[in-house]
Amino acid sequence: MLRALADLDRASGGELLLEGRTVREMSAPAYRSRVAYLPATPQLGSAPVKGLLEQVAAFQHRRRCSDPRTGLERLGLPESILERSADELSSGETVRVALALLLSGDAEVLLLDEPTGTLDPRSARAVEERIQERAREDTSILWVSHDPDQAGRIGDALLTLEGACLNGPLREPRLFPDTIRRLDPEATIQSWGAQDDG
Amino acid sequence: MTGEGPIHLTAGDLLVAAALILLNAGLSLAMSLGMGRTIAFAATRMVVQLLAVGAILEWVFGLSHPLAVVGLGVLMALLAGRESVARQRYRYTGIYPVGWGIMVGSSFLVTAVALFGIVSVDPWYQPQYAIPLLGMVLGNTLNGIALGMDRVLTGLKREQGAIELLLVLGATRREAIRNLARESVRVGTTPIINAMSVAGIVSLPGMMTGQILSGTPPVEAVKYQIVIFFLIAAGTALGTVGAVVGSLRLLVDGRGRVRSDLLRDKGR
Repeated sequence: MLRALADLDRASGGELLLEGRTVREMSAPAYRSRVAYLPATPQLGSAPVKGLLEQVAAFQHRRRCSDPRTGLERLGLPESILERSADELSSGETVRVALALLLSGDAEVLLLDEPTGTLDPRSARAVEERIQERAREDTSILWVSHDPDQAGRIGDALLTLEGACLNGPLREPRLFPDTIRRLDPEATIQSWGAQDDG
Repeated sequence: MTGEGPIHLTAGDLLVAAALILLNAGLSLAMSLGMGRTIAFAATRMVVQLLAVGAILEWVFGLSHPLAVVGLGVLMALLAGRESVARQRYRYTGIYPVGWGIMVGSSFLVTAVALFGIVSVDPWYQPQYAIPLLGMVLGNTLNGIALGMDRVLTGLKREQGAIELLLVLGATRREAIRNLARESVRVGTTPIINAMSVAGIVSLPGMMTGQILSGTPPVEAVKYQIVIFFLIAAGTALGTVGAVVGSLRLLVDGRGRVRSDLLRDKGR
């Protein structure tokens, strides 16, 4: 579902709208710059991280709001990571590099597929903080999580996905953990944000 | 050797040459490679194919008619196109027409330039020039197309995630697939570039050797070989770029999405 929202898969039905406009009428790069998506297991290719950063910075539709290098540091990655080849990174490092790139753009909506799934508790905390900070800056965030406590800790609206049925939103964070535990933990979407788009 | 033409080979001469293949068979036995059957099959296939081609060429040379020459040329190009696709691990619907179209287009264009603009053959359809020139262009273009296509299709399959990451970061279709396209064209054209670099030092090209054997002065043979190298380099580049761009056009939609659902794995 996140892939369809990110315009990476053709939706099997329905229509994608951003602020009332059909996404099909917008150019793909323009839409994706506004609605950015972090896959659960991003692939960065095989170039050095530095090369990837430069490649992304040169995109013609890219409107940058911060330097991804500062982002790397704030997500707990050392500067030496820039020289390393992207395919040698651990899965946790890969997710954080991808996230730093995502956060360096000025997307209005972030679609995050288990961003902390592969991280140790400390890095996970850094990621949560950074994303919460972004949410306070008026970015809408849709966060898929399988962690009931995480949902209760940071979410302000909960959507649950059972089969093909999307339920919610529930807006009482203290009820989130129990709601999730009652369901199959494999099937949960949780979101919070300043606006509801898309 | 005199300038009166080559020494004719008799059937006995060919048999002596064939005996050399027994060396390979002996090696296979001695090292228990189990390749005896494969070697025999490949050698037999080579002999039968070449004899058949010899007969067909004699016939077309006898006709010396433009339609016969073009017809044989199209047939050769289609076979080469089929061969370049047959080596692919990943296939998509329409891959054969792409292979055929690119192969006919690039090889005919380059051969036409040679016939009309460089060698200036009159009449242009003299099979003695048209067919061997086309054949050499095809043989090399086939490699370029096969390698370039393999790289691009494998890349789309394996690096879909990396392409998608660029897309979600706001890349246009072109920006997202540019690296893969470049890399594929590089892979497809590297063999001919290597062949040019070592020509005359490590390898004496087959055509030049053939001309020298049949009595052409070496400098004349070299001039032809130089022309041939430029022709096959151009043909390979055109064919490789065509195959890479054509495949990407069909497999990456207007919004940059990789249609990996259209790619099938044939296995090896």
